[in-house]
Amino acid sequence: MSVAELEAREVALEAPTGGLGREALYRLTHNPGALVGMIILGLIVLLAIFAPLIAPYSPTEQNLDALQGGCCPGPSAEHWFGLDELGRDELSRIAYGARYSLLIGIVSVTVGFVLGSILGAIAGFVGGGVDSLIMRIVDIWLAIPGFLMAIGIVALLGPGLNQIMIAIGIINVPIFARLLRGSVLGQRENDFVLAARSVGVRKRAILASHILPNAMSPVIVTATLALATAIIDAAGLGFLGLGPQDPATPEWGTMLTNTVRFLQTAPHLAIIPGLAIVITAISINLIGDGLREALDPKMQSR
Amino acid sequence: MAESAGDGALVTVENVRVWFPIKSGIFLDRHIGDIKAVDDVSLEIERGETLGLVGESGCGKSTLGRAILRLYEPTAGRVLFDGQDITHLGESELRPLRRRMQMIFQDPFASLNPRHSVGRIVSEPLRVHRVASRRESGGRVRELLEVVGLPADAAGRYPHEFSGGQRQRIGLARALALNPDFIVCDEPVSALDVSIQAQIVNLLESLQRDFELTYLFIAHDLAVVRHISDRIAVMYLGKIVEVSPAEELYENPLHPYTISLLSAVPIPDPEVERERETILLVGDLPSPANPPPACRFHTRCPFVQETRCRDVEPGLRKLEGGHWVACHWAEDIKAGAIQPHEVEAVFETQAAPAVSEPPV
Amino acid sequence: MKTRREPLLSVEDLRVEFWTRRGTVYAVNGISFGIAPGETLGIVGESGCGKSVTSLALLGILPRAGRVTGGTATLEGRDLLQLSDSQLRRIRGRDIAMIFQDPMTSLNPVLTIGRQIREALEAHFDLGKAEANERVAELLDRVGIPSPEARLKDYPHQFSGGMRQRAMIAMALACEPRILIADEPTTALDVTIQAQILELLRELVAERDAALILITHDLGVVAGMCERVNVMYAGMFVETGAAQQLFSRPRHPYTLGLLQSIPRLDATRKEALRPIEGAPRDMLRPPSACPFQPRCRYAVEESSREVPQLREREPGHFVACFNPVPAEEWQKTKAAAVG
Repeated sequence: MSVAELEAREVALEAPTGGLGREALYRLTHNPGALVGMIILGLIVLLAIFAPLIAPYSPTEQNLDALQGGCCPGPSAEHWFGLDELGRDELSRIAYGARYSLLIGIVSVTVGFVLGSILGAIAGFVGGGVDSLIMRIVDIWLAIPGFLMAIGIVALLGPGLNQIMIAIGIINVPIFARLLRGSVLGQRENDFVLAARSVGVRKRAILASHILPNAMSPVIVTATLALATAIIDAAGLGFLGLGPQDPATPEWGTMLTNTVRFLQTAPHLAIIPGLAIVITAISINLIGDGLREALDPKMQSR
Repeated sequence: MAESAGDGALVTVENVRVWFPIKSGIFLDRHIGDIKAVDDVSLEIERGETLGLVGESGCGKSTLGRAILRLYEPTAGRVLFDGQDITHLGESELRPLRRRMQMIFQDPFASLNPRHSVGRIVSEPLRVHRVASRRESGGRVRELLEVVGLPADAAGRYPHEFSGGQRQRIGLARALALNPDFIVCDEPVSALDVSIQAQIVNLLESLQRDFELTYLFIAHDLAVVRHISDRIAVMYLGKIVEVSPAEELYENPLHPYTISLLSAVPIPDPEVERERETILLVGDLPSPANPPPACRFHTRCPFVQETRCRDVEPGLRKLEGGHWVACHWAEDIKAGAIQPHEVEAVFETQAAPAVSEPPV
Repeated sequence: MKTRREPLLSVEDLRVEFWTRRGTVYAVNGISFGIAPGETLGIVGESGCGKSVTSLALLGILPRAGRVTGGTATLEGRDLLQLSDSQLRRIRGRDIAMIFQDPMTSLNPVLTIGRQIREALEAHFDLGKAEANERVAELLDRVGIPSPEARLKDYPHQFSGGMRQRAMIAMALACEPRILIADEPTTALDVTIQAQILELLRELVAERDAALILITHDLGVVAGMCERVNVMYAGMFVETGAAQQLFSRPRHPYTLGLLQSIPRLDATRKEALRPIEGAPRDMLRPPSACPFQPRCRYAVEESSREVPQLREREPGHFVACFNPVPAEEWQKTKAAAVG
């Protein structure tokens, strides 16, 4: 057998038996990078969910007296992350901000994933003219740089939280469409699909129970990585002032908007939200990479 | 036209063509040619027999098998199953017929959905045809697993936990679920280890006896085909070049391609190997998108003659009882009047053109 | 039997293991063989028996998890298994060359055929580009590829399967190796193409007086190509000898089982095949008994207690079995089937 087959066999011997899902889970949880990512993301999710309990102060309550000595007091015993330019507690704002970032990320990726998958599945399964038409539209869609398109969409819809979720969702649609179409096309050629046809399984059932479950793996990985990008994009849109318009909103990107002029005197105002965004994105990426390895079809036992 | 069998034939193939369009284009795909995978093939499969279908890659045997099962729609010609014309039936009309004709596949790893349990795979035919629900099918699944030689607890496990030979057995259990009359076996043992092949071949034979099955056995391994088949059809580039009773094929091959093919098959016996006269075919198989005109084999035929071979396409004609051949000079070759000679090698150097979807 | 020349390569008690999380896979468990110039040796066995691993181990190209855990492989006084990678690099291609099974994956799809073969030459000889190209064209011509000069600029995907395998052979022979290891060289090819390739190999090896180790699962191929045959099962040789001896008087139950279970083209009667029951064992335990015993019709008490060693049963014919099959057994069953 070829070296590649030997290596596949070798990997196959490493995983436990049982359903494929269990194997993938095993691989994922034994991947050090993914494990680190999951712990960090887990903490951030907990932070977001229990923000009211964790945040020591209100994220919107201003304390202008504390700014007597000029802007802005850095990290101290009472305020672990310091205060922002309006005297609000950074730590509390970061904690509540986690909710916004995660919410925007999850909702927008879900929108992109669902719409894109529907388009991609139709294109891949139906084929022919329908496929060509959908893919040409997707090609044009992909040709426009995502972030710029998002700005354009928000410009059209007006700024705001819901609008940036829609915008980021829309820019994700073609990515998933293309990906799922390719995946479906690949699965369509498999013998077990032919076997299902020869048994008489209806087309819809073939798509639902045979093709899609096997086509999902690369899409799940991309969804995870898209989540990280979505959070960054959301922060970017927030930084440009296109996000939630209420200036009190503790969205991480919006928190960065006014910090530029304080970079010399109060760098913590820029660094801390920036770090929050980066750490969240990295942890998601680590999980995504781990997922890709865990779900790699080459690694499935034979 | 292969021998007529009156009303005994379970499957009749009449002048079937299966052509795959080649499309190319920047914006819209244009039809620029066809891969003539199966080109004007006719044959009959009798009830209860095993018809072997042999040929090398690209000869169209798998495509023909799938066309017979209507997994592809023939571009031309007719396919009759038990007297009924199924060539252009829609999916819903075909569905009840699918209970009677099934297929087993070559790749034991790709033919089973890796995410479904064995029980689910084997019971799927039962559910699709409303014979039993998932809960009720447990007993039948156990029965089927036993028939193919697998333990009953296999139902709860997943395909990747089984070896290649065992996975082929699972595929067989699935094919038998609805008590079909006819099974197309598409290279069922080619991907298996030698010591396992014999187990599966024996299993196929005993199942045929026990369940009165008719087989179309597609393979490239001539020795296996010869062992299991009653009759053998040899295909080359989309056409049938010879049909013969199995025992006769080795002693009495009539078509030059069959003769060359047989002489190329290695035999596990050093003395026989040493004394054999091998006729080595030169060059590569021509592309099915552009097959040679007239006799398709004339570019590589060691017996090619000046007249007829390059001008007129030889039809399949009956030479002796049950033995048909598509060659202008078959009688002379058999009598020894024509000897094999050197042929200039023609190599294919173009990559296969991009093919679009098969006609479903 | 002709007298054997001095062996070029001598392998003694080779052992290879793979470390996996599920445990250690004992892929090769003590095999010994030698090959002299001009000889053809066939190593025959089914998938998982360790035959491919053997050749990879000799050339030092085992996958990451593989380790040679014992034995020596002596080529002209040097033990290949002890050499460093840079030392082995000078041997690969030059003294020992390998042909792989799947020419599609063994040839780099983004480099031209000419470039890949030239690489092999440049690794071992000091040739200018023009001179190297000339040599490559000569090689392509010798392996039967038409218009070789034009083919230098082609990519692998433009070749058919048979032509790609010819190109692989050209690459292997480029540096005139003295030992050629062919690992399932024709398994992926059609039967008529296989016959061409095997004929080519036969000619080339004879021309160069090279040694050929042919690794395959196909007993028919071995019968036609090899003077000596070693049958491998579960990482050990269970029977070795001249092809003529093994095919007419197999003594090991596995060899007999294989011959009985293979349908033969020249069989005159349709007897049921006699398969070998069961399936190959997993190799997660070091051998402590006869590895074939669970599937063996001839097993005796010792078979489950000790590992049988190769013992000479007739001159040059060795069998590792506590209860070898009677010498005429195969002829008897063959007569019934073949007539």
